[in-house]
Amino acid sequence: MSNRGISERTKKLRKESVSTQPVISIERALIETDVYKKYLGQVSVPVLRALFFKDLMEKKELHLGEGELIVGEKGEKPQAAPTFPELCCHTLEDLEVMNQRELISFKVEDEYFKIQEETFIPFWENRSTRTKILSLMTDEWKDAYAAGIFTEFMEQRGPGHTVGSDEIYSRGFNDRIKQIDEELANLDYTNDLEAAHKAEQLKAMRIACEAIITLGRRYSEYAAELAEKEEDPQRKEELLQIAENCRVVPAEKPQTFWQAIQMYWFVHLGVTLEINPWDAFSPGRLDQHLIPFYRQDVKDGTLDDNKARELLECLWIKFNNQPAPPKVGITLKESSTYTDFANINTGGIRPDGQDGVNEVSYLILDTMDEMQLLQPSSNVQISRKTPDRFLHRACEVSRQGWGQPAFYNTEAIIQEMLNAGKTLADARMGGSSGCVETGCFGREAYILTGYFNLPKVLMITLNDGYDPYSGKQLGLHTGKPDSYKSYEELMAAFAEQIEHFVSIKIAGSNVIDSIFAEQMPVPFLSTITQDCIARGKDYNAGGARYNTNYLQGVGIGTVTDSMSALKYLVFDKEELSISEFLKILDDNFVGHEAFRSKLLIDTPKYGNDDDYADNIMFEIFDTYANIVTGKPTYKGGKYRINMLPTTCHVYFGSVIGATPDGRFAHKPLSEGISPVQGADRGGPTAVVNSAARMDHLRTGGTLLNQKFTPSLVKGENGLRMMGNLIRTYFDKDGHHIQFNVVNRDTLIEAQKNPEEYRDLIVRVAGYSDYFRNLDLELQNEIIARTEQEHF
Amino acid sequence: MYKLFDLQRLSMENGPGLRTTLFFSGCPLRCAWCHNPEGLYYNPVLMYFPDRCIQCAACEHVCPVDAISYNPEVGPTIDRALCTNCGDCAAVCPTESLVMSAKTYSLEEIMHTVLRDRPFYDRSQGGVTFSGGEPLSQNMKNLEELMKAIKAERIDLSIDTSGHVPLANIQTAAKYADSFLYDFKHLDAEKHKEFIGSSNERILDNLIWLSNNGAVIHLRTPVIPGFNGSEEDLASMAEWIAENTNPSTISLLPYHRFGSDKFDRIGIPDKKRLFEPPTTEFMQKALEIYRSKGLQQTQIGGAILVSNVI
Repeated sequence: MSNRGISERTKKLRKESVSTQPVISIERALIETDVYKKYLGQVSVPVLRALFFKDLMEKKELHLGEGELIVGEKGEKPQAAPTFPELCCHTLEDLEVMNQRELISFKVEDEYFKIQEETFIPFWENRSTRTKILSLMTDEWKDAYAAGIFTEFMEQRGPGHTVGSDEIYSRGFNDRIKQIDEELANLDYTNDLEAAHKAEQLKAMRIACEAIITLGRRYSEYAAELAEKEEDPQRKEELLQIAENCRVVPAEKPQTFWQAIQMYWFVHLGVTLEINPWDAFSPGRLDQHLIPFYRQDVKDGTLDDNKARELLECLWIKFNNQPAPPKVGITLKESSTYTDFANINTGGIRPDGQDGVNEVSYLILDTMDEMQLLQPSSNVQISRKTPDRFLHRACEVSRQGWGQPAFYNTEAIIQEMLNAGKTLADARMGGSSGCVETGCFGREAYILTGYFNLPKVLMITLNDGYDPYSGKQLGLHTGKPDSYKSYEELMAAFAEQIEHFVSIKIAGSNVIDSIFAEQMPVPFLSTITQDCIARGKDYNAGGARYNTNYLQGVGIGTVTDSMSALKYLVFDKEELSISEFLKILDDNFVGHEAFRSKLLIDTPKYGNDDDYADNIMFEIFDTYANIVTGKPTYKGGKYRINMLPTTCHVYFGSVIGATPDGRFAHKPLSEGISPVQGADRGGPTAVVNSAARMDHLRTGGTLLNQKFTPSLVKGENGLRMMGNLIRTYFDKDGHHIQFNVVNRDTLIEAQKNPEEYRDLIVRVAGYSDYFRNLDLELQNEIIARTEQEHF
Repeated sequence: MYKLFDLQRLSMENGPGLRTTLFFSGCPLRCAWCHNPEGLYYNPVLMYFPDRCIQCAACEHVCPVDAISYNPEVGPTIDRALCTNCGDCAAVCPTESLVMSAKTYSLEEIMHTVLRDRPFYDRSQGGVTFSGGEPLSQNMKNLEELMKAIKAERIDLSIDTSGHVPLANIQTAAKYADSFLYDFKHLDAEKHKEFIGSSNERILDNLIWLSNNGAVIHLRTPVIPGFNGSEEDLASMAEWIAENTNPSTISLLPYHRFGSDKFDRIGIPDKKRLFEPPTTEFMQKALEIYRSKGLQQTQIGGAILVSNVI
């Protein structure tokens, strides 16, 4: 494994980060249980949550590793992952599985099993949101969930997708306390009937601000103590500076580049320890936030590019030290990775509409290039105003084949937000986080609620509402297979079934949202999200300026090609009836090899710039978007759609038999909005044209994956091809594109000899992962994705 | 109608920018190292990809002249002496194990695909390239219509030619083409005849005509040890170029052996294995020779980079 890093210090820290086995950290759960036992029922729920957060910040073990410049860990040390029993109380069997499983494992100490059994399970088993959610869901919700029609993000995690804004760097927490005190003083108990409720929220937020300041002060004192004992004069100097940094932040706003990064890191720890917000927390537009500090320090002669890069590398390593909290069951299947989906946006435009690329943007590209770490995910926003130099450099990093940076279209993101009702000023502050999801950073709660299995709903439609996988009548009776006189009638029935399952899903989400709003507030996150303080309202209850719930459609390629095959063979050519087709699918094409081959070659397929298939894709997209978009959320916002899968297309494929596009039973679905693996035969421009047929601006993010072999992108000409492909896709309003530049033989070799390819990173969906950490099926799927070798 | 053995989108080394390249079927030359043998013939020929065969035997039943004998162990065997290249077997093959080398396209079909990629040309200063085979040994009335249609859309047009065609065809093409990719393989007429099947006189004359008439020329020379791979050969070619023409770029293309399996597919003995690829050092030497003759525009490889486009 290569030893990467700009200095000996970061080489060492990075090596520790990537070679340490993740373990379960007990600290957080212990402190939380103690606080709940002490205060539950005595104080309001928001204050209870804040008191737990305060205790954690006061008592958690401090970690200041040798050579570190940025301090703070979620657990007792790097790669120690806290658990969140208030959300999901693991069974002893869960712990055993985590401990034993080959992939994404977490070592669990014997002592933990005992405490889990004697302390955590008795207290949390019936109090966790997971238990409450599952007990409140209807039978039809449970049946659809178990059958793999949709997943549920909040089943064992909290609402996530939180991204920091400019305010983190321009305000200290003492300033927030001041604002909270003003709001408390101004509460009008006579006319505002919610005043008492707001007071509790605000008190909780105040406690949370004090708590994070306490953590900073403790680190300041600890660093000073270590400096006292330190004999190496250079390290002593560094420790004293760390002590000074933590004296300033997070209490006050940062004064230097170094302090600005430390400020962000304290906030990151606060958000991700308060609750488990999947998608962790992201620094948002980091280059724009850091540039004033960078310029001032350079002018003062206290910072140069090497020092700035070393500090950025320290931040990158901090991210990588935090594996995503352990997942179990279906949630593990939909998102099987250690990656916690922090996603840094670089480039784009500034709030005043001008080009946002600056000196720090290039340093960030250098940092991602040097670090090549899973976390943080790094992307670049490319706008019409982005200079070619920046795009060129980003392509240079991307073509090395480990999947970062991904490319996002600034103009598309802004239009998506305007379309969702945001102001232009707020829209320009936004970007993409998680995988590809659009949001207004620091001003919006945009929650992924679950993945939606479009091909499965089509198969249920063909079977008159019956699901062969679960053996249940899950859908509506929309008609026997051969009752459809036309493609249009079939499409109408499909739309009815989508509406049916979307309604079940959203009904469940509304209940779940109410549980989080009332029982699981996040006072710390609320203090850094506009306008929670001003409204005296929690982030989970609709306190943010904007609130969106996303429902992510999966398998658009598979469902389009299936519908296309039905239209072409059943209705246009009248070669067979739907029931005859279903019989062949029941046989999983066994004995029908020639039929399947012709199916693969002759029927129009999405991804080939063929209107026949692409119009079907648009029709299904349009139907899904119209059904979901605009439905009200519990928090007073609207439902919208994304088209992204994480790793859910593998799970969703496993719960469906053979499909009319020629896919064998239980094989993965197409991922993101990419064509079915191997179905695109016209090259990247055809894929781009087909993908652009989707109306990206009506979504909150789409994901397009292109796999290239190194030969296609070599040389200056290869870089320009990538750049022009990106520019043209973005001219056509494409939201996101990412590249895997890797040779098929390399992947096959890596599958056979994982030990020799321990650091091989590939782009999976909206994120990269170590190839060796993917299960066999996902590995095969990545190998199967079309290689654009012969052009 | 146009017979193309490939219509390649996102083509990167057939002229500037991102391009769509039309590979016309049929070629008047027989280069010993040809790497697109399926494009040699003016009418489509049957190609066989053994790996794709699923042993369905559909081909055997439809062959009207009994040229296919089917054996479950090895799949179909094609008797090329009997085969008329009628295409009946390819039409029933479910897996594209048997396919015809070229497809026929109408002008509208070609323009439909070409226009789909216009945004990519606009972004990258790319366009359309006619290649082959030999694009200028087609029916010129037909070809002129296609050239007109492309230029009516103000799309950049490049013609990749061997130059071994009547001057009138070159003159017609020059009315429409924005640039020529022109092959210059050897200066020695005898050697040219021995390895390529024709003398090079017409090729040199046509090149001079294009030069004198202001055409933008990208000259391309495959460097093939055993054919033109001696320092003397290359020096004499470079001198001739410097004296007679002024190309915008000169590409020295190292001979490679990729595509040898294509000969098996169309059932003719592989001649490619006659040659060895040049070493990297030799390519560097070749580059130095060209540059030493004042040809600073020489490069290794066929990419034509347009300035300032990403």
